[in-house]
Amino acid sequence: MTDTLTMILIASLLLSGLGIVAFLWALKTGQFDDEDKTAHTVFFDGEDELNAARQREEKLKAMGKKEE
Amino acid sequence: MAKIVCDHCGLEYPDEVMIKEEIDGTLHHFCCKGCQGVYHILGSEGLDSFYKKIGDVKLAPPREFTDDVERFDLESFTKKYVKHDGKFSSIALILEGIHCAACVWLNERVLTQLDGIIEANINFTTHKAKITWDPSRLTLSKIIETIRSIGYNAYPYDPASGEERANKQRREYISRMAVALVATMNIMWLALSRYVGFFSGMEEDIRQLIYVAEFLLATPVLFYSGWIYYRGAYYGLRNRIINMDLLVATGASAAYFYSIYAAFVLGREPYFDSVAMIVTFVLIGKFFEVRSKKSAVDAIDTMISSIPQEIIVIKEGIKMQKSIEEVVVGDLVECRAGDKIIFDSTIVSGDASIDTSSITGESIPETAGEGDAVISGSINLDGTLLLHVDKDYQSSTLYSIITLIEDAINKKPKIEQLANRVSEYFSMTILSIAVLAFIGWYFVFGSSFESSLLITISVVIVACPCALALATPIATLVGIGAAMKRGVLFKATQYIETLAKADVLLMDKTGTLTKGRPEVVEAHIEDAGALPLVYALVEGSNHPVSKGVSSYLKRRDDTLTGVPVEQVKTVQARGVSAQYGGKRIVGGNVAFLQEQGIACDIVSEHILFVCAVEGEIVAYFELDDPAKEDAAQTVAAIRAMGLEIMMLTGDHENSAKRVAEVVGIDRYLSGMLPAEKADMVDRLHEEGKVVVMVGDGINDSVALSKADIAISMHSGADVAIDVSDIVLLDDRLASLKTAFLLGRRTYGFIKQNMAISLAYNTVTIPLAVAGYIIPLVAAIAMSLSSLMVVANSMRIKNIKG
Repeated sequence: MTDTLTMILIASLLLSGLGIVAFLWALKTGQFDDEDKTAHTVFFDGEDELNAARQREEKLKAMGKKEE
Repeated sequence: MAKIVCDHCGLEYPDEVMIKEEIDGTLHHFCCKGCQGVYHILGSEGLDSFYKKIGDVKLAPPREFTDDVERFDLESFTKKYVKHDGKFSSIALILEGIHCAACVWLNERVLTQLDGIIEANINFTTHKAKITWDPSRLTLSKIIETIRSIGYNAYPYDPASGEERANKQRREYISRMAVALVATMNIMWLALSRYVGFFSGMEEDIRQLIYVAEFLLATPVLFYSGWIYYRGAYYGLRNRIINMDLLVATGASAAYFYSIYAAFVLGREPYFDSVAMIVTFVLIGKFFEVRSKKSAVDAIDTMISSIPQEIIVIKEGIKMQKSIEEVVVGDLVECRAGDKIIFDSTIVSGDASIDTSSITGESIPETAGEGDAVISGSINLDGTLLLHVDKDYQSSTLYSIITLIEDAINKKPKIEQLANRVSEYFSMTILSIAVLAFIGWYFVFGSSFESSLLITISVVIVACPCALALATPIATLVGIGAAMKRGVLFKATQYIETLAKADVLLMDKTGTLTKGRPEVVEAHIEDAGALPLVYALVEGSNHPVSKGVSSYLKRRDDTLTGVPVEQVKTVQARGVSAQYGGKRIVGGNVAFLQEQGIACDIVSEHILFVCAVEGEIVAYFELDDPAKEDAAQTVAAIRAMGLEIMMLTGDHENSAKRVAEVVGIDRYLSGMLPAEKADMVDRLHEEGKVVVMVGDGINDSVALSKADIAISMHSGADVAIDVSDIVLLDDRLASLKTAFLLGRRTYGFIKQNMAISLAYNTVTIPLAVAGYIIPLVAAIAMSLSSLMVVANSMRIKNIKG
């Protein structure tokens, strides 16, 4: 009984800890700086945006390489 | 006259003025070269899905820029605004022309497609952008040129002035709050099972397990989230102030350390749940305070950057660009239709309607001609003016308003909050009682050191200001929630208490007590058959008076349509003339008609708009800015609450008097400049009054930021809304009454809550000092007092009206 409870407790504490860490990471990277923009992102998730995101990643990668 | 929608900006224009162009076999219409250009750029960049994303939003047609962008690359400029971080540069810009999420999307896309841009991020709410780029591959002027090429504009601003700090603080609070909320919620269910187990019986090892879990959760709440209180208490002590922070910090830490001892050494009930709860609730209240400060910073940045940095100066017949700081008294500057007037100056030539509403609050544009003085901050609506500069930028009215607001935000008077005052005495008393109890037990009665210390700690814990610390935040949160449902937005919790203590209510006239736009109060129609002609004449004009007449005519008979008039000529600030079927139609003020050779001798105390066809007067309208329907009722209701009401307006005596009589205000001051309104607030402060100010214009902003409580309408100027503490979301004056009612009601409940928690303490502290408090009683009494406070506060919602 106690063992089961201990396991459940550890599992749930770890999960909420994980959630908190994820949230703090998102906050730190500025994803919550603009409350209204996030609400509108659902309108912009087509193929275009995926392509743009990929382009941006590639660009950043290319720049990073140059820096080395 | 069929109207056609421009394919770029979405605005409607008559067919004949549109530029037509065939692209890929379909005919496109553009209202101007600018729109056409942007359409082509978006098409060639593969960004035409913008038009699908934007939906029904209308854009402003792109402006043409006359200044050259190279100045952005000058060293003096980059030194001020551009930050260098290793290989890359970054700048903070405010974008102009953002209408919707699609605009944000478009700008971000276009910028990231530029070679050399590392990152472009635009804030949707504030329209501020942060751009990072590689200066070896791209210049700043190219970036700004790109933004302009798609129909927007960008001004640089200096984010160091408070914004970065405010942002950092906001993030800090959110992360501390997130940790506190998650941990507290988990502690709650653990504590609940522990409480239930207390009565139904619980195995010892399970109870120990719960203790460990609660301990693990409470630790980050106290030391991470609660760090703010330790810091606040430290700064308070350094300034010799005993504040709420100290009380929360000592109470929470005493409870925390005792709990560790009780749970793991004595095996008794700990108070980890109380520790977490108090830290979390007080933290939420503090967060609202921090948030309201940030938006005020945003407002000033926007205001400063909406002022053009350069202006056309005419010297010996040659036009040249000059930075506004370099313009000196005596220079001649050009001001075109639609421009903001930046300097206090005198008109040398030209005449125009001047919209001074943002400075004086005057709702109807004034006519100004040669020799008239114009104030900075007003807008030239329709003419081209040559101005003689009377004051340089640093001493202009506009600049002084900005500095006044900045000052006032930083020096806002703080009404001492009841909770702070009570907590100061309370924590002093508790701390001394605890010390006395220790001295008494240890030295006088000769108890052991350990049991004396235990009694001392139990005094602090039992007195743990749970109920007291919750008294204000819970009541105000419920009060604010109830207000929100009724369209009143309180930006921070403490305003509800200040509002309840208010003595004087200052009200602006235009836009607050009145509707803010002229409406026809009396129409004299001599020849109803000529109305289509009149309608056609006024419909084409953007002047507020024409708009008032046209909306009146439409209301009177909504089947009325205009006839296609020709040769429409607008004479600045006076009237309009046109031709229809060989007939000459003239509409305007009396002076304009006389100028046109039409005999006219109508006199009225209101604004007049007279219409004549072929020299015969067919109709005339009297217009006025009428008081809102609920104004008189609201004023009477608020006065009945015992507040003194005064009206302050920049308008002239006559219209002030008229409105004051209608709404029933006997004290009013007219012709007031923004600084005079603010002085009035200062004077009342000197008399020891708590001042509430209601206003909606830039001209009220200084007074608003000085007042103890500033209230603005949701439709007011951005600056006014941002410096305000309370916003009436539905623009109804009746909501003002609701705000006062709720403020007073909530304050009453705060007092009740404090009485409850103090009553609880007067019973339990003597028991604790005597050493009679067993942990069980303490735990139950503590939860009970908090519950009573919470339950009592919920009753605030049951308000009528």
